[in-house]
Order: sequence, then C-alpha cells, then structure tokens
Amino acid sequence: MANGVISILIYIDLLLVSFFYLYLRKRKEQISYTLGMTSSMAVGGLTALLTGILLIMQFPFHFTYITMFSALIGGFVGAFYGRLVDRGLFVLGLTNGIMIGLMAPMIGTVIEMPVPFIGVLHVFFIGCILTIFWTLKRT
Amino acid sequence: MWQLILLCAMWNLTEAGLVYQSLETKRSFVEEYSMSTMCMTVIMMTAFVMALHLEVLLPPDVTVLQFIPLLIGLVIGWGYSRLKSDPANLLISLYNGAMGGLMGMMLGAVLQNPALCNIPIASQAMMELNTYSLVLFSACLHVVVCHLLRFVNR
Repeated sequence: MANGVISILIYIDLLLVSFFYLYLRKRKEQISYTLGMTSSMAVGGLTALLTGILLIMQFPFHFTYITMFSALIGGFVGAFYGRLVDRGLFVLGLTNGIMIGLMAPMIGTVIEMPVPFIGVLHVFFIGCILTIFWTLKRT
Repeated sequence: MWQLILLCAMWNLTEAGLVYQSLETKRSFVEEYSMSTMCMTVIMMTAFVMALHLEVLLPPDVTVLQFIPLLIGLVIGWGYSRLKSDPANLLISLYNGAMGGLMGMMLGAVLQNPALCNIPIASQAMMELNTYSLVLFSACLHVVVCHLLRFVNR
C-alpha cells in the first residue's frame, strides 16, 4: 500500500473521530451509561488499532515509538469519549485504548494481505460509528 | 538491568494494592455499576502489566513457567471480584484478568523475540532498549491509570 494512501487514511480516521466527538458532545445529555461505555470502548479501541496498524506499515523500523504513540492516541480518544458520560468511563476508555494501542503494531507487522484487512477494519469502524449515531437518533 | 523491571513490578503492585484499598474503603458509597467499571479497568491494566513484567523476567526456555503470567492474571481478577457483591461478577473479573494476562504474555514474548512478529530489530542492544523502554512506558501508564482511579473514587 502506498505511503500517501496510508497518510490519507490516518487523516480521515482522525477527522472522523474528531467530528463524531463534537457531534456527541452536543448531545451528551441523551447518552446513556451503556451507550457511553460502548462508544468509549469501541471508538477508542478501533482508533488505537487503526493508528497502530497504519503507522507500523508506513514506518516499519520504529516499532517502539509507534507502540507508544498508538497507545497514547487510543487512550486519549477513549478517555475523551468516556468523559462525555462519567468519570469512571473516562478511566475505562483510557485503559481500553492503551491496551489495544500497545497490541496494535504487533498485528500490523504480521498481516499478509494489508489492503483487504485495512478495508474490512475501516468498514467495521464506520459501521460502529453509524450504529452509535443511529442509537443516539432513536433515543 | 532486570532489577529495574523488578522495581517496576513492585511499584505497579503497590499502586494496585492502593487502588484495592481505596475501592474497599468507599465500597458502600459507590454504585454497583460504577464499582464494576472501576474493577474491570484496574483488573485489565494490572493483569496486563504484571504479566508483561513476569514474562520478561522469567527465563524463556522453561515451558512450565510460561503459565505463571496467566495465573497471575486470574488471581488478580479473583482478588478484585471480592469487592463486588454480585457473584456473577466473578466471571467477568476472571475473564478480564485472563485476557489481560494473555495479552501481556504475548507482548512480553514478542519483546523477547521480535522475529515472532517480523519486527526488524536485529541487534541485541536494540532489543534490550526496546524491551526496557516499553516495560517502563507500560509501568508509567499503569501508575497514571491507578492515580486516576483513586482520583475518581475520591
């Protein structure tokens, strides 16, 4: 996969996560505890996973830095999404993002067919966001 | 340098003990779902970090010792499940402890032998630097999470 495509994908993912966070922040009174837990775990974990996999494919010789970076990104995203509901969910999202971020670069180094793998992960990521969006619309 | 990892393990164990004490003190004032969330958080992170430390510290050629990180995860899960009154929570605590232990064991195994995941680290010095930096990083993250949990539970 070309390096330019990987950079664009990381950029699109981070934009998607940021705009969805702004959308959720406007409607945070409608978010239930269960939906908050789901969104913090799913979005934080998938962001960490995608960041780790895409970055290790672009910079394969920087395993340590990418592991730290993806853990921090996952932790921040999970914490911000969890903070919308509860302080307990803030720590839960942080921990979940950190753990998946620490594991993600290892997955990135062993995949043999990166294009279908990343495609399916993105479909799953967008599906998660759409599911949370529709659940929030219905409440 | 194994003393540094042992020191990190003791530091993390102390922090986990302080969180346990804090949760036990405020047990009757915290709602059941909130307690469940906090226990899940601390079990996952503590099991992961302790399994990582143990996997790096234990000799890789003795097969029987490879189960110890997983057992430590299960013991941590069982220990924290005693904070919750619902007996069904024992299952989720044991599950989280086992998952954290397995993930820590996996990361430790990859740090000891990067060729398992095709990570291009060739020299022994680079491998050791990689191991120590990631172990220290995860120990610091564990301490941050424990401090946040004690702050949330205040």
